[in-house]
Amino acid sequence: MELSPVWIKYEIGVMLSWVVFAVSGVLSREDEQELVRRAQKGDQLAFEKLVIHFQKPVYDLARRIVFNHMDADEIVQETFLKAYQHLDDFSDEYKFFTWLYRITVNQSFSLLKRRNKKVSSLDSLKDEDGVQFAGNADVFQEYRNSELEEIVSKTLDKIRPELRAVFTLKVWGGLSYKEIADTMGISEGTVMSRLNRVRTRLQEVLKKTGGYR
Amino acid sequence: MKKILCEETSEYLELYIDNELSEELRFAVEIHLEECPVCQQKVKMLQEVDEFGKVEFYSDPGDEYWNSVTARIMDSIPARKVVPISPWRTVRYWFESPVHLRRAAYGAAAAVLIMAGLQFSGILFNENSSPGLADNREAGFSVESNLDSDAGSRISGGSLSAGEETPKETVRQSAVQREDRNIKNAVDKTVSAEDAGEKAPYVPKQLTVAPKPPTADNNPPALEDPFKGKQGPAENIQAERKEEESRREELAAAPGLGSTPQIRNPRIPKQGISAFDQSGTGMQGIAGFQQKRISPRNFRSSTRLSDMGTQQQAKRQSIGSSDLTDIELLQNKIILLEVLQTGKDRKIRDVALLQLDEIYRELLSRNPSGDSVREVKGFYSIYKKELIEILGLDEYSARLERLE
Repeated sequence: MELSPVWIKYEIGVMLSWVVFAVSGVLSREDEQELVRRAQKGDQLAFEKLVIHFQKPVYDLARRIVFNHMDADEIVQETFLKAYQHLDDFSDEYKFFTWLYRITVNQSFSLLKRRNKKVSSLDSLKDEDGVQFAGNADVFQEYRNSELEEIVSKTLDKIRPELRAVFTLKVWGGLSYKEIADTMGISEGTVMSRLNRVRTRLQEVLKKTGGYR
Repeated sequence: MKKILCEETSEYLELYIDNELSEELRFAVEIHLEECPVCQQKVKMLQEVDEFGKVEFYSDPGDEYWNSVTARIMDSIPARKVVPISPWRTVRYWFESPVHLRRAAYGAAAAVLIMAGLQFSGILFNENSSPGLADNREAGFSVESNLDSDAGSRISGGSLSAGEETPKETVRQSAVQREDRNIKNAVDKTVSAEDAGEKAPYVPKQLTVAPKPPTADNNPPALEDPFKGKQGPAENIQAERKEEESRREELAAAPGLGSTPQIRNPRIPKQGISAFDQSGTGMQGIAGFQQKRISPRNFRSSTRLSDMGTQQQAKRQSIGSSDLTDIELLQNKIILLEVLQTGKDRKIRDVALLQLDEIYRELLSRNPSGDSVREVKGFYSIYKKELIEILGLDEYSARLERLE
């Protein structure tokens, strides 16, 4: 029996790459669609997986719009509840995360409106925040973070939430113009012009304040 | 050459940092940025603003918090439908619950299937299979064959390079054993063509192995003196004989007929290779690559390459073919750089630059963050400018498209 070492090496390499691909933790588009389909049929386990996978990005997005842990926490809850109730409305032509982000953004806006303020006041922020994260209790880090949050929220406070959301989706989320347009329900041209406005405004503010560092 | 101006560029800068530009425009903006400090400053400002948007101003609430969020959400949602719980479903859930476990199971199943498939097709464990195929892969060359089909050429390359005189019938048997329809068809085609009385192209023109030393019963008929029975004045015959001998010597010295390995590159037309190969420059890649635009006569100018001592290295193909390994690609890159630095012929430089680009793309597609890519990017940024100056942006991008 003649076994060429090169050939065997090649075959083993192909197999290994296949297995590595198979066990990699990234949720592919197909997996995502499959989970959504099963959740639509009433499979709660599938929905739970979607929650586990998306709760952090949803929280981050909300947090960057409302600048407040408690509000962000509330938005995460409402978002997933709403998503579950309207799962049947979701169609495959969009990516699931753009649909979910859309709900998140809308929830954030309505919460801000409900409270009749653009962002939570810094006083309430200090009261509500901070001690919440006893888990990673680095007091100095928390203090620095709350200071940073103050600066960031003060700066971004001067920008309307609709513009801020577009900017956040681009810069933090790394979404393409098309995905942002799908998320916000606006055209790509509007995305472009909003981004331009935010950046121009932020440049002015940063020039005045001398940056955030 | 199409150049974009400062005002035009500043419109694109935001799209540029957002990665929303077409490749051509992106390229143009990059070129402009390299020489315009004003636009560089603008990009820097934009990036600073974006950095501001990315500031991590809060810590991750921690796993405990995430678990509690999941639990709260799942508690708050009403059941949509009653899902019947059967033992089978429980088992399925057990497999499905950690996504990784499920994937591992699928991966293992696929691996088993692949192994079984290989076993069945006999590629891996067939005692009759010729070692030629694998050996050729290792050596990195293949034999130019007269069979048009790829499978056919693999057969003749594999069996004949091993130095055996393989009867067609044996090849056919082994093909049947492999149940490889392509190969079988190719062989059948050859055999039937011979049956029909045509002169079937069975033996490849060029072998990779030096011919066997002549033995008693293996004397090439060509060695017989063709002037044996010839009548005429002795001087005339001697003159003719000398002439014939010198012609033979020329033939024997011609490259490509002895042990010169053929370049393995599927993109190069066969005619291109053989036409150029006879010039003995070894830069078949360039010749084949530009066969349509540049005639072999022009390529004689590239014989200078052989004077630079690169002929040996250049035997490995200089195109960024996907068949080559990373190291081979980088070796080719070095040769091409030499060509660029020393070659005066514009066309040669032109083609070498395009080939550099192909290597660059190939390496990028293989390993988007490796060291080799960084190295390639370095020289690429120097030479792409030159390339655009030679070709113009429009023609350059058009040719890139043609390349793809």
